[in-house]
Amino acid sequence: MEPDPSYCVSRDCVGFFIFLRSAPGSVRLRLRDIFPTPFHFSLRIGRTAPANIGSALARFIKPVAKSSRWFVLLSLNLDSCPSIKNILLLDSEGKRVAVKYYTDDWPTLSAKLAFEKSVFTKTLKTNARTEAEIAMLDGYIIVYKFIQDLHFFVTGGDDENEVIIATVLQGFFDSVGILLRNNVDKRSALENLDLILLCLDEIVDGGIILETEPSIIASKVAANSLDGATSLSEQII
Amino acid sequence: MAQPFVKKDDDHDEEEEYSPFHGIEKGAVLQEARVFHDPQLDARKCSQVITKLLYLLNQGETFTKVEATEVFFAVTKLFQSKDTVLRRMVYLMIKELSPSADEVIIVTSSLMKDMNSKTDMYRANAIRVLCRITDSTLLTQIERYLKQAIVDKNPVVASAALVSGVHLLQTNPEIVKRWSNEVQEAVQSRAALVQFHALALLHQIRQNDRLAVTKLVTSLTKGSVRSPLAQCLLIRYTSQVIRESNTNTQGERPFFDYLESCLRHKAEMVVFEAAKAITELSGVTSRELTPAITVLQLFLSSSKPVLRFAAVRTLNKVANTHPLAVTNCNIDMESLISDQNRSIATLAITTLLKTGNESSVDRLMKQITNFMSDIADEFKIVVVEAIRSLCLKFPLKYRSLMNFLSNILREEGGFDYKKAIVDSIVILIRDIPDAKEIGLFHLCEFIEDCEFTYLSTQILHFLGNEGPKTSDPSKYIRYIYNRVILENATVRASAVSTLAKFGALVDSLKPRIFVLLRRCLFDSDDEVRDRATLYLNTLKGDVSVGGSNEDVKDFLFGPLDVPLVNLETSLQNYEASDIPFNISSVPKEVKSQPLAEKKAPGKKPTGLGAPPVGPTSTVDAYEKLLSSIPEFAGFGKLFKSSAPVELTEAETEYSVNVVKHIFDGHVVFQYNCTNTIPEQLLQMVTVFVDASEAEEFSEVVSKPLRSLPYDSPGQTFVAFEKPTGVPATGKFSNLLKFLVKEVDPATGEVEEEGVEDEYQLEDLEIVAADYMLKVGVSNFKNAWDSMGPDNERVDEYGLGVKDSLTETVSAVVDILGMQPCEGTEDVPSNSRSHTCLLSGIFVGNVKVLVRVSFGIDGSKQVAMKLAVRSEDPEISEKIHEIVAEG
Repeated sequence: MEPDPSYCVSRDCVGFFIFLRSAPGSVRLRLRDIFPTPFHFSLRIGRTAPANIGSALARFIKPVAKSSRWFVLLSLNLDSCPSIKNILLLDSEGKRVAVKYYTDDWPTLSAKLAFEKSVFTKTLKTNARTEAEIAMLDGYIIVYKFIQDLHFFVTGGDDENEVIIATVLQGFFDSVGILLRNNVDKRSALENLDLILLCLDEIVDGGIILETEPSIIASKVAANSLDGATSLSEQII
Repeated sequence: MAQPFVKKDDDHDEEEEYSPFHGIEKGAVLQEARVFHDPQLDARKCSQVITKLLYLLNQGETFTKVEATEVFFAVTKLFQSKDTVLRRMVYLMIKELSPSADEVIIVTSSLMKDMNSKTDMYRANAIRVLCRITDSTLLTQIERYLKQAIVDKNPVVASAALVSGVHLLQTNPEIVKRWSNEVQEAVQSRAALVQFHALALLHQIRQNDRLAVTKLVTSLTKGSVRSPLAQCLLIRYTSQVIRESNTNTQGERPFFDYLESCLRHKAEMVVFEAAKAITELSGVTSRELTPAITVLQLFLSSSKPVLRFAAVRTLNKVANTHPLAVTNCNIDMESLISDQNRSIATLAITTLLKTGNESSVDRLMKQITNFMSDIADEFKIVVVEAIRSLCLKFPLKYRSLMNFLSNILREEGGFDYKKAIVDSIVILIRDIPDAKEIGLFHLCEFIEDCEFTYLSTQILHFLGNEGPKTSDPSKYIRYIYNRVILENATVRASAVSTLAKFGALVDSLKPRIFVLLRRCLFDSDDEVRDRATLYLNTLKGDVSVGGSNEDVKDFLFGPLDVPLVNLETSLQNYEASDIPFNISSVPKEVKSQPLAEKKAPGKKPTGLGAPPVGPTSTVDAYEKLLSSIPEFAGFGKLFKSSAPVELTEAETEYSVNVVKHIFDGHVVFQYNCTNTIPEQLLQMVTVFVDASEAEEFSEVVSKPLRSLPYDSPGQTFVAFEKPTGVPATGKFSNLLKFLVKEVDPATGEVEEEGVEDEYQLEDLEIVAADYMLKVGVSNFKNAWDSMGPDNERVDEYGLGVKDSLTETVSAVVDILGMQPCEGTEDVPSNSRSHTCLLSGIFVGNVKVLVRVSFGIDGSKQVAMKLAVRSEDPEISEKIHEIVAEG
């Protein structure tokens, strides 16, 4: 009984939606059907090759298929594509300037705020002003860099290539520098929040790295916008 | 604080002035959003309002359903404006609002128009927005455009379509799979990131087609992949292919050349990815490791903390399996101990502790001492654990390591940290007899000034067990009695128990202990007084508990021979009546598996003259467990219990491991089963063992496990008879049989009806090494000489081509299952010959010593000379047979 594992791949997770019909003597599998599932089993396989998933699934499914009658939802972690969990831009008190989360690792607002708080306090005393620094926290890798009263963070999974995360951070950091004309502090970031948000949008899309070259990111964001000074401060102040 | 540029203001109003969003309110902004409806749109004003809305969302504000719909409809009006900045903000806003299906229809036509616009920026962004909010019906409509976009000559447009494809693959795999021709074309793109995104998508489309992935890797590793990110992907796919093709281990690994060439790539991320991939190859040889270790070593001295961290973390993992390969980096690693980044420093320390040799311990400890004061507790715990395993590896170094532990014990620290240190000292005392007195002394010092009740009581209990057995027990009394005077009631009570233990076990101290105990009779706490009274009366013999002195001791301090869990359930079921509760009615079968501390195999200073089995706590626990089962009572003395062997893969629904218990004429398999499915209750669990490949064994008893609820381990046993004293070997296949009943996890109700089921387990083998006890000798040469040459058997073996001596030595040690002596299991790197000394006790209580010499020549041919001495010439022959078969 070797199932043919057809599955759909998300950025860091493969969802198996498996429909099992339990008939005497035979177990039939139909894949790719999505049903409301009364059971949820998750089986973490890490970076297993797809071919091995077949046999792992077969082992896993056999008894479950016999005992629990209908549906099984398995989620397998197959993070072969470099992915980013979140990008944070906080001020010198740990408050948000702009943040963007790409995964459901922190499902609620309070979980997100708690993560930001712990990242902020754990890194506060380090000197990350000349070179990007790195830390491990709750099984995540965080690469960060500070300038003036702004703290830049990029978070990736435990298994991710640290250098890739650092490249994303550097891309974000430098493109913000270009967009704010090297006048990088909280005030100017908030006054040009539209640029910061567009910048985040151009660096990572749903966890997948879009671009890491600062000049390209900045030019994509600033296309036609730098000339017509649309700074928010003009209107408000 | 590291913010020299910002003055810290206590006055909040003043500080808030920095923000252009000062005093922003959701209601007011939603009012402002009415400008979106103006017939004459003010583009600048509109984008400012959108920014404010986005700011609110970003700060965690949420919109109600009505508000979100209203904003969405208002935003859709803005497509009329030709202003590019505004359009970008509109795209962002739509993505943030994630509109519902009926709302999406409103913007679809506008977005499709943008998708076909002449402005590349519009096209790219419209694709990303549309794909984010679309459903499958809509997707079929726009599929044509997306296919075109994938091969668009503008890289931004192509990337947008490809990345959207990766996202869509999870919801609409059939549609995205139809694009593979276009994606294939995009892989050849000249634009670096297009290639990266195309490769990611193509691999995800094809990843269950093993052949296609292999073909993809084969063609791309030959060609030139431009983007470093795409190279990293390719490296990951390559190692997947290598992992799958691992069936033929002979000769060169496929694609290894490619991985090695990536080590010379100009982008650091590629170099690191390749080095990491090589270290993670299964069964990696030292020759394959060397180039990867070399580049990681260069990273160690990089000016970038990220590179240092990445390298030291990878080397730390390598050190677990190939400590010798990492020793070359030790000098670089030592300089990292003072690294500003404490994560790097801790990783460096623990790596050094894993790779260090006996001579470097002292120098290392000096460096760590300076380092410990300025790292956080969580890092300190990691270091303490590393030091504990180092000490077990090099027992001769206990003095400096124990001193280090006691020093850090005196410094500031939280409970978890202190507990880790105390636990380590306790383990060292237990495993290294020489370290006992000095360790106990350090613990005594510690409780003089210990703020944690839990630790004080733990230490007092331990002191009560170990203290009386030392050469001068009286010196501990002062420390213990101080607790009675100075501490809280809990600690006082356990100090009283400890005093009583000294009194009971050391006759010379008895009168003095009585004096101290009598003083405790006036304590302010009931428990303390009660304990003192009990101990005084029983030890003096005023109250009779049994006949002899031994009975008294047994009553007071003997271990409770029933598991506490069982006692608890029995007490709960006991109904008050005339019949007193009888402790002998409590079942003795252990439900949960005894905790066994995993020890690093190392030299054990147990002499051969000492009792043959240096009984460890695990063996004790097994012995007790087995003797509590009447069926096994007649098997005699337990010779050896193996380490648990896993019969299932980790994280399967039922997890089973087996412990092989060897008796003189019997073998008992103890299957430790755990049920990991909350919805199931298993009953009548047995293991059906097929011994057709083990002819000398015949099954005598199978003891089923009555019930196996969720997450509470249980045991079932199968016993076999075998010829007495003969090291019979064989292979057994196992099948778990049971009755499944469904359980409602919410209520815990069990269904009446059960279904019979079975579950295939892995095979199990009894090998010669199972009949060999690992027992070390303190002085191998003396033991060897005293055994004499009469029963010596020498023979030479050609082992054929091997990768290295290290692997050969550990393979031979594993086959024999003997204890390497004097650290001879470690082979210096690059040496051409090596002699390994082994000792052990063979079934039937026969001492065996082995001296085995290896030599390797230029063509990697390994020759082995095996000299065996034992008390019985037949056994010496037997050892040779084992080796010849292995």
